[in-house]
Amino acid sequence: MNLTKRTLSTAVATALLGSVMALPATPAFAGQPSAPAIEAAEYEARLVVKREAINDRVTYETIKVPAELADQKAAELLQDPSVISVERAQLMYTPTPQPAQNRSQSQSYSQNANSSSEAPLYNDAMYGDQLYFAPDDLNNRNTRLAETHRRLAFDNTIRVGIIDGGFKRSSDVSYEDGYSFDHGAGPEFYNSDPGTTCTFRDPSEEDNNIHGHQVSLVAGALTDNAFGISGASRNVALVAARTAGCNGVSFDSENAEAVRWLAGETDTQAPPIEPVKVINMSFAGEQQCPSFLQDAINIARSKGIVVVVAAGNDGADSNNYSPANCNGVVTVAATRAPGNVAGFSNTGTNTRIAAQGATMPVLDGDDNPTTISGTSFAAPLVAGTIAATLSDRPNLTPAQIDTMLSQSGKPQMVFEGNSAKDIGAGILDGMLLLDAAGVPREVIAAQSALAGDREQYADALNHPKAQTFLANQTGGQSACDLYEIDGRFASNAAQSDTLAFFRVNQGEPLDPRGATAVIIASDSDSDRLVITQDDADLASSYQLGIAHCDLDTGSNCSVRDTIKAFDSANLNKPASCS
Amino acid sequence: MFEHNKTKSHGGKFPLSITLTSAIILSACGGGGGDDSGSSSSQTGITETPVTLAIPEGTNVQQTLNGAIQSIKQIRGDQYPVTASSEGTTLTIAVGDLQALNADARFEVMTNQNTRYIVSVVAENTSADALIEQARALAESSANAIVADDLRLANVALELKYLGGQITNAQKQMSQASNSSTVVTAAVDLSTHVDDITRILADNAATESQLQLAIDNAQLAISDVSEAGGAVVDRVRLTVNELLDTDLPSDIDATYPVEFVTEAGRYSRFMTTEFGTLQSDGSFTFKTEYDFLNSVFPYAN
Repeated sequence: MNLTKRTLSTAVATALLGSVMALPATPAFAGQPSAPAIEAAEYEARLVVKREAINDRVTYETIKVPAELADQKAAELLQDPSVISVERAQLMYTPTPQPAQNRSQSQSYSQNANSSSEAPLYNDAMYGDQLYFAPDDLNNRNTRLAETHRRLAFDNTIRVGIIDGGFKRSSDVSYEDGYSFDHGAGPEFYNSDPGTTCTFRDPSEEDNNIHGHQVSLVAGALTDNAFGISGASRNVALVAARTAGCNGVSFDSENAEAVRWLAGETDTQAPPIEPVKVINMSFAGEQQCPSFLQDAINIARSKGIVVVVAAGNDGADSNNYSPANCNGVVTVAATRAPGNVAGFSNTGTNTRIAAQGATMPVLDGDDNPTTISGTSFAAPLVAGTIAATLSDRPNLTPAQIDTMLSQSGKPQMVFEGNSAKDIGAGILDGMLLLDAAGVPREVIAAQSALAGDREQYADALNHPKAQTFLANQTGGQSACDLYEIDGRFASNAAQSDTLAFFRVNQGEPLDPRGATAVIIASDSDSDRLVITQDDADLASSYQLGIAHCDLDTGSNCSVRDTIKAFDSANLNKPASCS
Repeated sequence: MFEHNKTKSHGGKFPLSITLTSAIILSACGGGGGDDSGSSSSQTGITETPVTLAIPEGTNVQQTLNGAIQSIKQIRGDQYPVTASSEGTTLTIAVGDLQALNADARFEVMTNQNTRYIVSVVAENTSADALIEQARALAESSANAIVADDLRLANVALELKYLGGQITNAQKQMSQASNSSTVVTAAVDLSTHVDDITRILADNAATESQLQLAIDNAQLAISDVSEAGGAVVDRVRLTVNELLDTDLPSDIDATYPVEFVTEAGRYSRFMTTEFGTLQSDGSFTFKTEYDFLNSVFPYAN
């Protein structure tokens, strides 16, 4: 593809500049623990050799050479006509996690947030602090994972690849497979495994970097195990691709190889595996996307794999950071729980979506509760939500996911005096993502007409022109004054049965055929019905009910399964109606 | 990437940056001295210097090398119109008019100063840039994506008719199913063309004319889908016109066919100057008379 060529020319220019100046790419942030890594990069160069093989295949090989011999080696390699290109690998960094927040601050969010009486979905100890699970009453700015999860059966196991470093054994995370591509290359990938090495750290500090562990927690922690946090998806099979050492630094050559491995390619140093469906890379390097990484992403995408990456934590333009600026990735920015973009988050025209990435509940190295911030943790929240969607729709393609994401964002909150940041479609709403995927919503007998799968049109239905339209049709009611009755609650109803909204006198049996019954609205050929606020207000004087049964004979009319009370007091209107 | 493929700026910046790079490297080498950046010596005493140049088609690049050029050998890419010639210490790389979408060549250049330059040339088919952008968008598009705006507008209108009591839920669902069927039926040929384009983009030997032909063939299929989307809008036009201050025309596809909006990386018939203003970030603001549409489409402000 021409785009690959474009990226190649820039990447090679970057590599050449690197070779001229004998320096790796500028670290993306201050204070990174990578001075030893930079020193090593100055002493050792990694050349990624792209070759034409038989049958028009392309192979990749990474060759390590002393830095001062890099150009000589590259020149030697390039004399082979089968060599397509030689690029020098650059360092990539796990974006510096922001300091752990005081847990009492986290609790204050909980206290000020959702006051729903709904029972917690999961029994995980920190579930209540995971505000991205909360219902949509935090100024309408979060991912609503609890509601999202309730729509899903999680029958399909979705494999999710985590390319990172700092994986540790924990009661809240399990891995189906894993491999270390560097820093002790081989099948062992946990920090504590004897085969893994922490080259630049005191071995006693090897558990300091648990970045990959915390990323994995957010994406797919073991859920409902009364411990730790709840994963953004359930029934995920995590695959750990360890490319970063204990200082959180990796080479993009290994990251590209890890992408190919997770895509099921066989020409990597690791034994082939079944491809994953989602890849998460919480890395950032202030550089162009190298062609070998772009090639790897293209391969993954061509195999139906969604690649999710962090935008970076420099509060800068995400277009200047790899892999965020690679084509075909889902670049994720970070917001805070109230919905404002986190100041540390990179943003830009290539940012696809945002999710909470500040004050994220996770476990520390001792499996104690803590919080952490960074686009590193917004990305796996999105990756996990995509995995959850795939559990119900496993055949969705990356292009379809892209389209769905564009329809699944909610506006950011912008405080006075600030300006909006470019976060693509907005803050990911899991419910809208499932709507876009065609996953049916839970049948609710009665709800606001703006709720349910009509929620995605709320802005339009509340527009002044729409309000005038509806007022003309309904005698003055707006969309906020309308409720929808859904007759599908009645599992024992026949297709020919009538759906009816009715009233009876207080104290009388709730029966649409009863002596005091009055049918207020009905439809004999549909399973949905719209009623107005005026209809609902009759509750002050009458019992109101919904029936979906044979009103002519009454043969299947029963409060057991085809008649329900209409309780207007429990009907919440969307935030847009307040 | 469907909506946020914003890498055009990268393409625009390349030639200048690469030219500067090549100037730095080669002139540094031309300056002589044992501590040249960008080169190293092998055990044979030959200074090895890899160089990469990205050169737009129809242009030449000249560089002064370290020493008089003694030989030029083409290692790779002799099937492309990329040539290397020399005069004294000056190397000239010329890229002719490219048909190939991807063209790379490589030359080994020896000078009398025991310097071996391995010059890799990425020949840029600049005339194909827009074509490739459109092809990529097509390759990742479905019929529903091409007429997404039409389907969404129709859905909003149908919801209003349902909520207003003009139609029942059953009638609404039948209309939505009919709309979907209309688009699917019209898109029978589209997937074949999309597959062709995908195959060509992945083929390193593909040419500009092959891609142009594939897009032209796909355009006919896109027109069919556009017409279907227009029919969908026409079915709710009267309702939509009640929500606008300026009526949409009947047979909207004849007046405003679906087109690819490069800046937004998506298809639409509404993102035109007739309806509003395209912003630099790919979002769109509809004119006052079409303000209702600002609330309908996610990309609108």
